[in-house]
Amino acid sequence: MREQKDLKQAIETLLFITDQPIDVPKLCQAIGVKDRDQVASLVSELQREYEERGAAIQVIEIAEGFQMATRPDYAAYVRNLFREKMTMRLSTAALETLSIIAYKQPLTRAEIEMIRGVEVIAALETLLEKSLVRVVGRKETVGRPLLYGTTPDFLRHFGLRNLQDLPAIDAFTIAELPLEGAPATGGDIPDAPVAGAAPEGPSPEEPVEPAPQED
Amino acid sequence: MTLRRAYEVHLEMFEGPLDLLLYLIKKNDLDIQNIPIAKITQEYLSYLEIMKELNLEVVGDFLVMASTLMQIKARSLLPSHPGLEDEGPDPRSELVAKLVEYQKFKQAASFLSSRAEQFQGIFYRGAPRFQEREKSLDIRIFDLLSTLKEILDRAEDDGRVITGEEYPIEEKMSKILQLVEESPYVTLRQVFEGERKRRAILTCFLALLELIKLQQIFARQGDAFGEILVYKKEAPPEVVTPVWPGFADPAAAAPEGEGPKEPGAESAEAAEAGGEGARDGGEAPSA
Repeated sequence: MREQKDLKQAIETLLFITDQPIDVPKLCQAIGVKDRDQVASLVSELQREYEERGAAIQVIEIAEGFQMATRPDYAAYVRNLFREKMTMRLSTAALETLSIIAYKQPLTRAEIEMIRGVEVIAALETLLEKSLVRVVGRKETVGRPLLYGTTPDFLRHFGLRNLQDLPAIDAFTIAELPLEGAPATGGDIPDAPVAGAAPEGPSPEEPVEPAPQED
Repeated sequence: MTLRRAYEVHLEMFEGPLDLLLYLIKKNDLDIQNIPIAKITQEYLSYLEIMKELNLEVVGDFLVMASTLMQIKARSLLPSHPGLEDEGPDPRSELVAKLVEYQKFKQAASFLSSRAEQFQGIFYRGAPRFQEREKSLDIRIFDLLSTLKEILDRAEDDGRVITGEEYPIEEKMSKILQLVEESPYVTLRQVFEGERKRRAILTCFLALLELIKLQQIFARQGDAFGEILVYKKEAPPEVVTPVWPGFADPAAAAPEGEGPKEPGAESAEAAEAGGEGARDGGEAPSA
């Protein structure tokens, strides 16, 4: 059996190099270890070490996987480095369309429009273009309309580990009409990832069984 | 009223009839479950009227809603005949259900928005992909319209005589630019000061929209229903203060690739109301 340290560094390497979150099964595959619990706990160890060391980089659980990320404290410097570029901001229309998709996916454009009461073509295009949303199939009804769903980028952009991180839609009460920019009533969602504060229990990222054993 | 077609704004891109209704409910502090239908219908129609005058494209959706409202109103005026139950679903409760549901998603949207803000300072490997910000008004169109409505209510009617370009939009544009040149910001009301005629006011309003579109000015609003302030948009900011970083990563986009991608491509593109080339961040200077 390989040394823990060796394995941990292998994992660290992968988390460093990836530009997409990697989940535990994939890590297992890449480092040739079958024991997922072992890998998951090594990941947690890494998270903790980075945290304890007060490193500038954190290992965060995001979008159904793990990845290294910078810390908000230093965001300003990143922006200075990339100063000429603009950042993403979504219009109200796009955000509303996105939230409908997030909660109701997969669904068709007509179904979205039913809820918003207004055409959503432009908003949908924006979302597709920013890859927050993708086509996930076709509905087996007349005309076989496209079905839309959210992407991993969606989860990442909104700091969600998975879709279950979204508060239940009924948690949003009638009481408060959303005013523009008003902070929403939060659900019980982890705050911005203070890295250490990741998973305690079994890593939520997969329900035991089916390992996508495809290659 | 022939304001020039070129200045047509596609409202449906931003807000729809349900937004307008929710807006009116909130504005008048009404109970969503128990909307005074006559009052709301009347207000709704008066907003439609303004939108039409502005040549905002009052599309089907808004008109359909208008007829739904009037239908509900008509029904509520009729004495109920116990014998005539089978008139299909009650349009009123249908509408309320729709409003309630839609409102939840509006809240979900603002939840998402606050999440994004919370995570705006976290970047991932690979050069951060920043994206051009989407062109958006940043304030609700109905708030703009509401102010406009008040001002119009006090305007002198100039009849329906159309005498050429009495109020060229360019003139109003430079008037507004001059205003924001002279002071850090002006209130929306100030923009209309000195305008008496209905048509002049409308032109002035369109000039305002046009300038926002051209990214020469921007409008901000403190609280909901608060005063709308108009600022000059500065050249690209020196220090980096974009307030809305994100980390969309278009590189990640490619994967699912192939499939027929979009909903209605070309037509929607044409509908893009915003001008091209939003460049700088120009977020609200904290006044």
